[in-house]
Amino acid sequence: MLHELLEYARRENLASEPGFKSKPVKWLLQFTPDGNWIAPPIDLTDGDKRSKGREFNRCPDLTQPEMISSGSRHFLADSLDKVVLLTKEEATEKDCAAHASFVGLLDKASSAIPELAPISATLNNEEILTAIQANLNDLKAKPTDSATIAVSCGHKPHIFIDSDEWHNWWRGFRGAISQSKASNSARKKTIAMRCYLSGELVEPAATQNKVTGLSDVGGQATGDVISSFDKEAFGHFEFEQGQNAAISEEMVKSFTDALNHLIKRRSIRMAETRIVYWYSRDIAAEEDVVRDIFAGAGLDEDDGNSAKRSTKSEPSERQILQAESTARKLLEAIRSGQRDDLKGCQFFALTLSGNSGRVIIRDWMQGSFEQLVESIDAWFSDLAIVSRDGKNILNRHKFAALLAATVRDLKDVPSPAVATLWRCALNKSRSIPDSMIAQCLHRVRIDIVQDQSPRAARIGLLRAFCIRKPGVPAMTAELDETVDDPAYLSGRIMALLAAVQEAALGNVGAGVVQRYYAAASATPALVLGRLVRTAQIAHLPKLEGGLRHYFESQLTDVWNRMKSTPPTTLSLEKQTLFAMGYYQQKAVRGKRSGNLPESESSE
Amino acid sequence: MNSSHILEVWGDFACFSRPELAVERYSYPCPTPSAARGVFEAIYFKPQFYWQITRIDLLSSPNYIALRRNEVKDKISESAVKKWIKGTAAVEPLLADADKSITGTDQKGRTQRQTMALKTPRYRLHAHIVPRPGNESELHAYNSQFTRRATQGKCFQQPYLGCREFIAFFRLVENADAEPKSCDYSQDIGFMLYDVFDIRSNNYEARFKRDSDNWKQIKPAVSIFKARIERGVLEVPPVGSDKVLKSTLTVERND
Repeated sequence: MLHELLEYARRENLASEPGFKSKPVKWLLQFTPDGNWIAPPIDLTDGDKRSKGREFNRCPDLTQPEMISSGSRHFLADSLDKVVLLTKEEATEKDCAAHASFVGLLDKASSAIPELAPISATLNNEEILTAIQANLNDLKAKPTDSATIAVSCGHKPHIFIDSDEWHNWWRGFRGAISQSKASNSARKKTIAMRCYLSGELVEPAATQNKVTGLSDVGGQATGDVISSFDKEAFGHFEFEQGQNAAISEEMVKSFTDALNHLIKRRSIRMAETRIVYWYSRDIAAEEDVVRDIFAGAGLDEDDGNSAKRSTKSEPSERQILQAESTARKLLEAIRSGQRDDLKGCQFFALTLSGNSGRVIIRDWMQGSFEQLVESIDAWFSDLAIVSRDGKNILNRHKFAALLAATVRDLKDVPSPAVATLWRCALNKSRSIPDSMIAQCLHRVRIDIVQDQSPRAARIGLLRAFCIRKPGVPAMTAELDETVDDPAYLSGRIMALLAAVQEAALGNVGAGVVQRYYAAASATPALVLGRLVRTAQIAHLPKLEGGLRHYFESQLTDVWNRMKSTPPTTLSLEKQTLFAMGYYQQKAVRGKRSGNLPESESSE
Repeated sequence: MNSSHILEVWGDFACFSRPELAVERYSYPCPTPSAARGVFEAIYFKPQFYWQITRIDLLSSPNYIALRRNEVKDKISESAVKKWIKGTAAVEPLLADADKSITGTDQKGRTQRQTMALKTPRYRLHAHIVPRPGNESELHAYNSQFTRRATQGKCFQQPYLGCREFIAFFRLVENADAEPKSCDYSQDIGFMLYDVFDIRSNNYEARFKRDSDNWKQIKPAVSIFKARIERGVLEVPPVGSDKVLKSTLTVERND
């Protein structure tokens, strides 16, 4: 799977050279060629409060061990407390040392870039620093905001990190750090090992770069690593750190850059996991079926180079409908040969979360784009269910609603369930797991017993289960009067008995449904006979002729179809059919009566 | 002619950890050649030959399950154990449920780790015996002994699927034509671990000699190969093939 990330990094031309990293920068400090400071600093966020600043693709970067071993700070771009000693309280000795380190690096680099020498001198001047700090305070800048420097002589400022003039100097500087680190190391020997990603004989990177953007799913704000072998028990055969999973420094950089890029641009947060997906070729935004259809799970992504974030945006029904029709159109186009270019296209999906600074890979999926579109089409088709008022067919279930169908609240969804349901959505031959359906049935039962109509997403999930599970009669979206499964018919009888009672007595508080649904859905033979008898004696006689005749004929029809006594006990599959029968029969009643009570008709 | 042996193996769980994802473990979809070799060696092995895995069939599609367990961070030191035996040092327990407040360090005690294991795996492993030089004449005897032991369900240790706790059950497949086909599953795995040791070398053979000097000579030599599962079949190249990339080179650093 990591080799697919490498391929993505190559295709997207991501800067994957060690020592360089894409970073957002918020403030630009300008200086004249003589080193005089030009007020005020430029805010690179363009007024967007949520933005972290302008993204620069190739910023100098040192890893934490490199910073510790060299005693250096970042070069050219760092936080304001390091660049201009902007602190909330009086600067400590440590703050001063970090600032001195930043300025010292500028001074060292002035051998290659002479313009940096006067700037370095200016940043050492306490008076000017105080003026810059005051100006930044007026602009409500924070010490942790990132900043960089530029030279300006009237026209467009020359931003150093945007040019490549310092690249060679920086490579040399980093190389010197690595050499000094190696010579300080007690190990004189190193093993050349095969890189798991390139297959080349390499010296494995001891540690890995951080993957950022998983802090909302259990990761750390500073980032997490794919693998780390700092604990003795996780090493093998006396290998040290990275030798346990030999990957060269370049390859580590490449796949972490690719993953960071994807997390920012193509990721969806679902419960406590983040799903990252991509394709083997560029796919137009309107053809990105995954993005559109699963957006309902709480999209949290960047739209590219801008820092605009559409956090927690719920897609409109129109968007979901459009996505559904896109899937169907694409499928037809691929099958008819109009879109041969998409035939060889592959999709990839990783499900990630974090655990104490380490990335957990929860799932990996890959397949052809055609399969993906076909599965998404089948997914919505399988989930289609009649609305509770019987007027519409609902198949626009948001993925988050389907996840929540198994629990009381979305936040209670366990992480493995996300990966499981995600797999079902992207693979049409995969059954919905029994455990998930058991939980869903439990929620449906609670809904019904509490006199609430079950959520359509829950019944949709039950229908998808019936369709995909071998040996279970495939259910239609609406009531199917031809089905003669005793469990399904028992559910229908239950709904009819409830309707009879309601018609005869009105709202009685705890009616037959509230009192007997739970028992009837598991052991119909014990309950239904008694309830039918009660209806015949106590409820039907209270109804007027036409209505009484209607209910009697309905009950007789369903009962005749059963051809045997109601089942003694129901298995999970049969309980699902019971719930479907009850819901669909009730929807027919809702459609005929024209309107439902307010509490039931609202979704 | 060398006869090929086929074993069908299955179990409740399996985890063939990808080395690059070995800390929060994620399993390969099928056994590595070294894991498959371990299954054969658990049934029958002599230092006079090694097992060459030739093919692995997946009989069911990979079905992942997430397991989160408490694990320990440190290992018992071999030298410390020797000292305890001699009585020259006091026994220090390896605390399985301690945290930093008890051990005083982040390097010891308990840690929670995730394992993405495989649920109800089932494979067909193809392998043959390759005698080491000088033992070629015994090949027929080796083959007969393996067949006899595997048919009777004998093994000197219970075979396992990647991790010791995921035990494997096995049966010898005698008529391959009558067996069900492998599942319809394809995946490009990328570079996969072939073996941690060079199984052809005497160095590897030394593992099985009870001579402490030989034990010290054993050095891992990780080899990898490009793996692709095609319709449920992973073809494994022979260890001597160019397709198996070895790393035996040791580099002296110039100071």
